[in-house]
Amino acid sequence: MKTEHDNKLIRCPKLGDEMTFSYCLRESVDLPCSRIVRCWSACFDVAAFLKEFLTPEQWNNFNNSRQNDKVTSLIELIEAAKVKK
Amino acid sequence: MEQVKITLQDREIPKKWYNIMADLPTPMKPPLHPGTGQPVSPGDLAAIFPMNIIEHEASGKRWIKIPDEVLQKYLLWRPSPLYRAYNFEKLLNCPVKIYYKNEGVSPAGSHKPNAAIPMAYYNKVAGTKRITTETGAGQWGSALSMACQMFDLICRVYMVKISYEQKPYRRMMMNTWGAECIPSPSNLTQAGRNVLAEHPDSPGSLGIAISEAIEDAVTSKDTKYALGSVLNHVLLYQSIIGLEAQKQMQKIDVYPDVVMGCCGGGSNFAGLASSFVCDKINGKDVKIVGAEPSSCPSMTKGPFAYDFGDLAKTTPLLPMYTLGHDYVPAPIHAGGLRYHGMAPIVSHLVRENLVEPRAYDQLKTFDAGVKWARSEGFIPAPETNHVLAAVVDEAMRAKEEGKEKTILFNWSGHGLVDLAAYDAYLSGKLEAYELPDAEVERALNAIKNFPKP
Repeated sequence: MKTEHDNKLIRCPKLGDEMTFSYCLRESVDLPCSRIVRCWSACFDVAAFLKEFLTPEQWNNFNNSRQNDKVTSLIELIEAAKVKK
Repeated sequence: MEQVKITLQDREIPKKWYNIMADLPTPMKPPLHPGTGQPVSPGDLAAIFPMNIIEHEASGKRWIKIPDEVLQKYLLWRPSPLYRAYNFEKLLNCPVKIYYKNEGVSPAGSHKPNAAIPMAYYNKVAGTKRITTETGAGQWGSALSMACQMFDLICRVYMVKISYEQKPYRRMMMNTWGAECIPSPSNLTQAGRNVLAEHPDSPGSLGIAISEAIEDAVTSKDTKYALGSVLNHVLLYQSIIGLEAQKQMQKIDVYPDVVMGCCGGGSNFAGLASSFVCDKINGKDVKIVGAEPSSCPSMTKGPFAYDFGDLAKTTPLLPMYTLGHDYVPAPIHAGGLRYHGMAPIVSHLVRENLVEPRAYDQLKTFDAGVKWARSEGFIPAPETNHVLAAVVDEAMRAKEEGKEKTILFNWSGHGLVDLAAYDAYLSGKLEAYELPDAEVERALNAIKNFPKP
């Protein structure tokens, strides 16, 4: 679904590259990037926009997504990869 | 004629890395295993890192010897020069002396090889034949590609697809140094295939690229993984920046009042700052500032006024650009996201009040970067522009306070492969921040009874 903000451009601190809002909106595959509110909130009311744009389930998942520290994330990925070995 | 560069001879290069873990006033909480809830053990990381690197990750030793083989590679560009930025000082017209470590002189153009080279070396020693990693726009991927070539290791870099397509030059650098650069998501891993099955046109993300790089390392023979930021051993290897800077400043009998770096994953910031943090712990009067990107527009909208430095009002009233001590951008206020993704050591130093974090919006950072390029000549990497915004801020504060200050900062890399970012800025394509006037009025009201500087 297209939005009025899709082509707005910002420097992405995760990638070190310029990204459009449409990328931030789908960065986590089915969910927006975890930084989207922080990065865009001074440009427009992104939280209100997301609440309208996302389904209630997506909005809930976005708000409850866990932010692990790096080592914990790495161990989760290691364990997931071991299963694929 | 004024002396611009302070250099060290090759033989003066520091021979040990400094580990701030040894001097922390309070110990850091260990990371917990997500499955067991117990502190992570070295064995938990053995699938992706060799044991010699894991030892550094967990080490509490203050000094760790730099192997001769690593020093010999460092000498290709290290010791990096310390510069006095006379032209920028003149432009700012503030009572400040500005010194900077030029980490843009490395072959890859940034501070990243300081960590990539020891990682490649320790993997080689441990018998690793092949290293995988992920990269966003390619600064880390290119540095590791070069380091792997130096130690005859095969290197595969999973590069986020959208950057792979938008930023071809760092991909070309990786290829030139002999590495394989794969757009992520790819068909080479189960993680990538899963994403592509559901979203064939996925532009990728750093999270997907990390998943692919780790799966590749865990499931392939003689293969390990390397990470270019956040972790303790990365910050340890970067400490050479600050150790050199201390020697160089001693040569001219100067000690900084303020030490500054930009904070992404924390590696370039801690690289310069950690040995100065040690001085601060031991009683030295030095302010240490980490600059990070933010949506907080206080510099552009807020007045210079006395205010508390924190939400809890625990600091004395300080002169600063402020929107009121209670102004906290919603996502920071809500979830403490401010420090997520930053190195745990740096977050710990912030909590210990040894490091002061400051946030700058993107237009302000590019404005500072362009001013720098037009005065000092070197075009900074966009990330480096964050610390330049902090330097401008600090210089203005010095002027407002009527105090002379000596500033030292880490010029972490050049922006010659990032000119598209400057093009976006100069052509007005980067989004401008707007703050409702009502919010400014509210902020002014919150500090109306405080004394004025």
